[in-house]
Amino acid sequence: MRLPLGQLKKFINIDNISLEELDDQLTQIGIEVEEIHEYGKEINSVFVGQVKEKDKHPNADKLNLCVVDIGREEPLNVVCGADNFSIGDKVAVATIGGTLPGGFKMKKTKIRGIASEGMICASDELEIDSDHSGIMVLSNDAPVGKDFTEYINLADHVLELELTANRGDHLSVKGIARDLAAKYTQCTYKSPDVSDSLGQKDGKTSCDLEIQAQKGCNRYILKTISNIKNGESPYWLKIELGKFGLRPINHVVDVTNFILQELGHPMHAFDLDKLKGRKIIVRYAKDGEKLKTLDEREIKLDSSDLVIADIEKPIALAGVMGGFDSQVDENTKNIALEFAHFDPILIRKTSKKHGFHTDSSHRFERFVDPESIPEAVGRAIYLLNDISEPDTGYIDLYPHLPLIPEITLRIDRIKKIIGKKYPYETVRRILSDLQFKIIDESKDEWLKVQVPSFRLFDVSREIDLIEEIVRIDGYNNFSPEFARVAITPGKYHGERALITKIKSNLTSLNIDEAMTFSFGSKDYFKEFVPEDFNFAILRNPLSEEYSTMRPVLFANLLSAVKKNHDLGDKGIQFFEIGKIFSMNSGKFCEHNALSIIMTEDSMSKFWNKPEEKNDFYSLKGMLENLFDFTTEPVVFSSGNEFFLHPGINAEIHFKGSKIGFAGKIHPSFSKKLGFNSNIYLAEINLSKLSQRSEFLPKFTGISKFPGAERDIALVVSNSTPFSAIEECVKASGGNNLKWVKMFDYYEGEHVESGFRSIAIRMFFQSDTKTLKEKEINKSFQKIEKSLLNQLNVSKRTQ
Amino acid sequence: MEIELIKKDFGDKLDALNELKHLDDLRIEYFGKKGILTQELKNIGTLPPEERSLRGKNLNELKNILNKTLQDKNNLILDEIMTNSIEKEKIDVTLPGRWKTIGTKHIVEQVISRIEEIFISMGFTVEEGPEIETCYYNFEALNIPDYHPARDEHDTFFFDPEHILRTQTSPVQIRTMETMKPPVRIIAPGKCYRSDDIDPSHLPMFHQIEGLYIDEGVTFADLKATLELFLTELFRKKVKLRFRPSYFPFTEPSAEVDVNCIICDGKGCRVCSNKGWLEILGCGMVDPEVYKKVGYDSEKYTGWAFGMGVERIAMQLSGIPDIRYFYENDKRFLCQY
Repeated sequence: MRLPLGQLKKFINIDNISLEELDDQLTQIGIEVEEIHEYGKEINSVFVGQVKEKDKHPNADKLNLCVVDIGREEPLNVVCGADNFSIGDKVAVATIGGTLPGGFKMKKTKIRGIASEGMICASDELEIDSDHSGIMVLSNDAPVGKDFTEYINLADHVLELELTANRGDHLSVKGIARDLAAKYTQCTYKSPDVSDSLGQKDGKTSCDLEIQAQKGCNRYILKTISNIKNGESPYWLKIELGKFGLRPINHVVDVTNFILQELGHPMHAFDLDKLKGRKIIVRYAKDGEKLKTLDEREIKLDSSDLVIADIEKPIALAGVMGGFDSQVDENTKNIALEFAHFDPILIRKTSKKHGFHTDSSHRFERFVDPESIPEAVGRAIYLLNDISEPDTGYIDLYPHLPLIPEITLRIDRIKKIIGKKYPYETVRRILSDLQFKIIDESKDEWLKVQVPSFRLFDVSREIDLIEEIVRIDGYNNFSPEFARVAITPGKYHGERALITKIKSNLTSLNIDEAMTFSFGSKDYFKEFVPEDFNFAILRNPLSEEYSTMRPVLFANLLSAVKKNHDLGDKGIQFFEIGKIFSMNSGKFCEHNALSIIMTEDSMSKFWNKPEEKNDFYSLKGMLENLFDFTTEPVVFSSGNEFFLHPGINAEIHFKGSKIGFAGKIHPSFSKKLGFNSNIYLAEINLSKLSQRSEFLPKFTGISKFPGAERDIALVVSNSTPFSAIEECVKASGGNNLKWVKMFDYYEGEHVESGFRSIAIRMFFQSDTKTLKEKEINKSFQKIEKSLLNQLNVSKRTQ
Repeated sequence: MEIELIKKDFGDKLDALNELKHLDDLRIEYFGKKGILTQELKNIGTLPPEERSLRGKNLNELKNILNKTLQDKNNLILDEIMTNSIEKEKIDVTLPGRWKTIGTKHIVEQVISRIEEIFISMGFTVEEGPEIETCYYNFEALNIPDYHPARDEHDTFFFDPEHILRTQTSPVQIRTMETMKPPVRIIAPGKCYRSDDIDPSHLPMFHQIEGLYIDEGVTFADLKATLELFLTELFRKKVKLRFRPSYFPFTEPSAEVDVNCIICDGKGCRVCSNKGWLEILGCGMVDPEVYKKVGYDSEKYTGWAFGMGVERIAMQLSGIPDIRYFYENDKRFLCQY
């Protein structure tokens, strides 16, 4: 909200307070000052002048040569194109060297051969309105030589405020001043100038009023004004509206807009002559009824919309926006002014539904004080006084009086919440400065107050009063102090502990962590999941590109890899840990997953070593290395993910169930995604992994006796996986077999096609004695026999 | 042969050589089976008995001397060889080194870990909650009823009228309190989503960290003390805090907390828009409505909560001008941290 300082000063005497301090104090009471604009700063060196001479320009019929006194020794010679003024008139004169809005700099110029020492300004040139029909003629009492912006109150500071959603009462100059007055007790709060009388309740009105709606409209005051001379607003009003960021429209509308900013009361003016039946009805719309609103949109109404109607049709969407057909224009003669209080929730529903957000709906949603409506009526009559004579009567229907809560505040409760003791007297003073009515102060331990009508939206409980006390006393007016607590250990709950461990391991293995959006394009994701996959789909995404929750992690991560790849970085190793989403029989499911993607180009190319390319086994080794903390080892077996290369495709198992996959991206996908090198990828469901819980594992004995190695070279069918050999060796090796490793691998020349040569090394050692040659050979032969008998392998002969 | 003559001949031959191989030939020539000195020693038996003792003694002395000379020469040659090879092995130490890099954790993860570390050290546990939430946990239980203007600040992604992407980490407060009796001391980091259009300061996905502490005797003064300690640890220097009244539906009183700008020390700079303060987090005393929702006795227990945006803090700490960098995953950005 914009708050012109000049307007604020009308309500509260803060002349002795600096702008910095005001900024600080407003912030301290919860009104955040985002920015302070110097309004009218662009207008510089414009002075009040008086036209002393006015003659025709010798070279141009439409121009005048004027001599203008601006209080200097020498009057100025000014060429002027307008003719709507006479000798003796007071005018605004822009002088050489000065500036005007829009970055316009005043320079000495010759117009049709005659030098002009300044410019007599039209109001549009000063951005007061858009009128360029003539120059601005000022009032007769304007002091010659005075700075124009000061004279007309155009120079001002405008504070840009960030307000909280609970404080509807802050949405006006008056509301801010009222709250500030509770902080600045030395400054007095003044009410605005209002008309003495609203008229008599039973006096003459030119329009009837009926509230048919049972709910939604709590109060409605109708004031009619006849024989109004509507037209342009006076300059001061236009200037003040400009400070609020509003454009002038016509006098009546300007007054309603001004009162909304000044007092926070949305009001509306209807052109009475445009209403059917001279009657205003507050009712719910009929389904299918239509209304053309002021912004010239035609909206379709239904029975949940509260409308203002004449006897025929809706003329306004209550509290949100007026109707186009009943609007006040410059020819309007008779008006009906609406001052109402509408239910916040109802206004919010209606404005959301129709996509409106107006100054009026913004305020009604945040509660408008129904009790101070008469003040707004009086203010409107006062401000329209020059152009009208109001009818003698008015109508005030008040079907739902507000419930005014009474709250008991225990003095010691404040200390319990805040930690600081507030004396009774301080509490009492702050609450009454905030216009809470003290209704019981008979006890020392507590007091009882009545909430002022303008705070009904945010104050209803003891805790709300406590907030008020500490807010006005100052959030920075009490010291930090630790509560006395029992010590309990801090730790991770859930999967976060596992995740931090994995992240540390992976970064130590030289993989960088990436983070991608949790959503993406459905069309893209479809490439990576079975056809019958149930996506979690957003109903109101930013765009299709972000419409669907990711079903797998690697899809978006691939895009991240691709991006870097395209930027010229070929050696990428990325991982991501995050949630993946799906729907399962109508329920939303999400769980943590890990994805690793690496390109074949090695991250570690060195100038004096041969380059090593990443392959499937680089990825596998990394995964084996990574999961050193699990309760059981992860196991790889041949897999069949359709987006992976059919022959480089592994399932990963943990405790007997599948937790993920690893492999090379299918060449067709690789091509489609635009990669020109091999990409390896793995994805693992983390919710199925479990971490060892013990701090230290059980000690394993270390043998004191020497051990011995035995090697065997085998020719193995491609259909026999290495894991089968390993298992067979382990199963037949006996107690003394300590480990088995593959140390050589070959396929190609000298090995029959469909077979490969695998050399394995075994290590035998006893925990209790030095093994004899004979014993070792016996174990070895047993292994050899099992291998040859059980598997499709033969001993390599050379 | 005369001792002196043997000695002289040996010396001349030795001086003439400079390779280990020739040295070995010389050794064989004198000490081999048919070597000169070996022969002389064998010949002792042919001498008259009274001469044998002296001749033996002299020859053995000579043998020791020659051996020693041979050894010295051997060492000399070895030294020379080493000196030569050292000379040859000289390298250019300014050529690039070979290194194994370690990967980089995402900047958001680094900030979250740091904050977790601090709070764990203060006895907080780290809790989690789902990212697809119900309106109940994200709004109603947090005292943000339907059609309350406070919802304006939460542009929400919907799956259906009941299910949304959480707009804040605060639902974890409710989920934790539902399963736990006080004392509750938790933080909850995680992803949040709001349907903000992407621009230099907005993304539809971001991270928050929620804090909650409920027990008997927990006050606003304790909140201040805890945040002061936390932020001093996070920024690694003593910070000055400013608390401003604000509004969050699930806390009362509520506050925004500003920290004196760490870039300019509060003097005013570009990062703090010349205000000298950086808005760092929102916080407040847990509202009685929230206790009601989870069945806590609000007369007995008091407590506080806070929430902060992770990316914003990272941007302030590191001077990152555009939030979009965080999820573009450009390695040149990721690996700066």
